Amino acid sequence: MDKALEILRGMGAFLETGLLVLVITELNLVFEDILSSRLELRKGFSKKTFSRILYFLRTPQTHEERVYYAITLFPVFLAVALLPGLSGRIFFPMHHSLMFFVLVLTTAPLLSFFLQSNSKTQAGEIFVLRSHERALGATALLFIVLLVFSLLTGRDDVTEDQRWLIFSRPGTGLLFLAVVFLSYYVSSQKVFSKAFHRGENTSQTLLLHIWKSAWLIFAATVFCGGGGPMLIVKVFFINLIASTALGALGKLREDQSEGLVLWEFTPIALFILLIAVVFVGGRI
Amino acid sequence: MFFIGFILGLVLCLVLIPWGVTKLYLSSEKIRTEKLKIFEKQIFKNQTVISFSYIMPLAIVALVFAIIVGTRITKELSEQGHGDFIYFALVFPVFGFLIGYLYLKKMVKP
Repeated sequence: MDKALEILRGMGAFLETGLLVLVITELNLVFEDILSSRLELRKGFSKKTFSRILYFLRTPQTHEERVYYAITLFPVFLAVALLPGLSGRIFFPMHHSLMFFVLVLTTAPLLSFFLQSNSKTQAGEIFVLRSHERALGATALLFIVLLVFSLLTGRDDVTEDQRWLIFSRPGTGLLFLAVVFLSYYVSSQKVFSKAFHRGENTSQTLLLHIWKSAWLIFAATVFCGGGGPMLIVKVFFINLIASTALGALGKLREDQSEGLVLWEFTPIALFILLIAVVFVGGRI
Repeated sequence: MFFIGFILGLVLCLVLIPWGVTKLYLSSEKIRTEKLKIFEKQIFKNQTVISFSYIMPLAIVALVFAIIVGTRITKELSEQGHGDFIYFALVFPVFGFLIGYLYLKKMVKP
């Protein structure tokens, strides 16, 4: 009886986590659709919520593909379950959960990449695969950011703490911006470059949006006062501000945007890292 | 058991429900013509992807190693005040990366 109850509790935990991630993802997508339609002076937006969910559910054609999607999404939901959720409690509390979060979340695009490239049909969209490469590449940067966070705050656990870290420790504000920015970078090629419309609404692309949602939930819970019912509102506002700021940036060609990131931003990131290392142990 | 319940929830929501929806969709006469369009996929198979899949496991092993080492450094040594060790463990790799980056920039930048 106890075991059955525990299994039911586990299923409830998944439903709560899944609901949180999907609601946030959908809110983000709807808002970004509206924003892009306003910026491009279009009327309306491309996909309605219900049709998008249906599309996501019915795109996997075979059992193999459905299992692939489930395996790919499992690390994302598990990682989010390491953070305080809607109820404000952590479903899988553990030591070093900050680093474990990065590790678990990294396996999502990795699994997706391998499962697609090694499947019998060799089916997959090159756009999505390139995004996965980018996501894996950015993981090292995210890890460095979190390592610096750990050095500044002296903790590498995600707790149910309700403090707003960006106010109590203003030095972490830069890290907060870095996490939000990188979450956009890994999930979209539109941060700097022009819109790449082909294949944008497939369920594979939705994985990237879900991945971004997981990072935004992380940013909101760690830096902006933990979980609870207000978590959705916090993530929405982070997305609102970040999307508007990034949408207002001038758009470049793909090669120009890569050049900007590689040759201009990387030295700045290294410089910030060096500054942070110099101040190790100090209260910034 | 809690973890098993979590996985069962995942299977229910991401395997069984999509299976039901797809079955319902495929059995629909009205929208049969759209099927091929939706399920059309691109085939990819090129050298870059193959070579990338050889490099990636090594990169991931390096990342996992970095995370484990980083965890130990930050948690234990930071609390004990071994600032020098942290300094060397982070500054040298950053300088190493910087040298490699500058070399790459010199050789590759258009």
